[in-house]
Amino acid sequence: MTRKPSVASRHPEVIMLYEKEEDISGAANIIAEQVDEYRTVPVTRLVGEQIKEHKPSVILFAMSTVKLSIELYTKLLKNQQIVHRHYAIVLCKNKESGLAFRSCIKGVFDNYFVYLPLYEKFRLKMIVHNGLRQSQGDDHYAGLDDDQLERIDTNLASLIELSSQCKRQLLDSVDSCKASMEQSTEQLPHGDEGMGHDKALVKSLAKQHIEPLLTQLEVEIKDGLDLILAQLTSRHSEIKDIKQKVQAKQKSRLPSQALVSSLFDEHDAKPPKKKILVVEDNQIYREMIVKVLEQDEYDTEQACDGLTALKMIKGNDYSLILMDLYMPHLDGINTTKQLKVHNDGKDIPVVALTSNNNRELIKRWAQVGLKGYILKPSNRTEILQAVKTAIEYG
Amino acid sequence: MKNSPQILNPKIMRDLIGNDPTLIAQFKQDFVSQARSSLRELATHYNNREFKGLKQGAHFLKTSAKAIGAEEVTDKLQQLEFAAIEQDMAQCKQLIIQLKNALQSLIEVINS
Repeated sequence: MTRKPSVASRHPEVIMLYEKEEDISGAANIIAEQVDEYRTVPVTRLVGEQIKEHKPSVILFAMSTVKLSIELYTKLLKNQQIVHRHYAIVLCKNKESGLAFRSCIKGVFDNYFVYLPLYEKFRLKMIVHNGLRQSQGDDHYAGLDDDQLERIDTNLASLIELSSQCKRQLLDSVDSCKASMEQSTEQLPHGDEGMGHDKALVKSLAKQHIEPLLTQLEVEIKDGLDLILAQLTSRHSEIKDIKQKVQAKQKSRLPSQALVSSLFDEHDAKPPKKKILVVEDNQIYREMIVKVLEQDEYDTEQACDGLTALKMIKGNDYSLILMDLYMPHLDGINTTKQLKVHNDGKDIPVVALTSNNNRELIKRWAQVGLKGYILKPSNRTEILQAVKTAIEYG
Repeated sequence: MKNSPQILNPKIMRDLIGNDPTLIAQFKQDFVSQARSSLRELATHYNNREFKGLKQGAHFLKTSAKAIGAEEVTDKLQQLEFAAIEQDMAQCKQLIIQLKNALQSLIEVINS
């Protein structure tokens, strides 16, 4: 039976924080198929309180940029709204996968996943599964979670207090017993010779038998309870150490400003390669064009027809599209017409890969946004020049 | 005057992807496989009198034939594309036979 995905559990173990609902619908449903206790939460002013209340084991940050996800996570840690053990995952667009990877390598997040475009649904499920396993069953702390540690700490403290009270009361009782015995002996009446003997006898009994017994009782109470107290205090101190380590571990998650800056410095130091989508149904020619572009420091992605290209455009940031005219499913002209709609209203320059007998079609294509064309077969120099011009002026 | 097409013009692929002999050999072999498969499809389209399929099939293979410098094969494919547009059965038949021969010559050159 198929389980209906739910994304609003009342006691979520997994929470996805998002900015735009339309961005997360695919990823949200995939997780809902796998995890019952799951909730998607829009980022509002109350988000920190919700996290603090639910203490989710896995938190997914699906902001529109990795930078915003880092800022949100840092803020939640700084405000002590995430103090429990958890597994943090940043969801990113394909173009930011490098930055997301570096942020994980440097320990800001535990893992990342490219959700725009969404290709590897089982990998997302695997990441969430591992996150739950790690954050819920961390053997560093003998399987105890934060709440259990807190309870043990409190119970040990009250046990030590009770033991101390008990020791005081027992020793007070012994003292009062001794005092009472002395008082009773002294209060025996002085009388004739017989009575005097009795008093001397009672005193002697008290001195020789009862007092040593009370003294021994006092020593045993002291020794026994001191031993128990010492053991309890020692355990309490161990628990305190563990708690401090847990807190230190959580504290160490807070990324320093320098670390966050370094992520973006590295990102800025080397400008990202321009990414070009090559859309061509002939695999051999497509791979040749890809070789030419990659040898010239461009990143490339490939599509075998117009429909596939349109699907790939969403969530990507192509600097240019090289496109064949005749392709199955959707030809170059009709694909170009629909590009803007699939790219959130933004233009992407398109350069045609075409034969020279298609001049009329090239004119028609130009009317729907074509920025240049490469005749088949052009040489490397001609192709790269056409690409460079289209990117610069496109 | 236009030169007569060569069976294989090595300059075309060199100018496109560079001088790496392994890469060049790989693309040549890939083309031979692709061309054999396409030729079978073209024959099927011809037998079924599917001119649109013939035209599309010829155009498809022409792209990679041009790119590897198989000029004679390219020339036959170009003519076949036109013959299919004209729906000239007899001419299509002749061109498919010529295409098969041109492809055979190309394979011999590649393997020599």
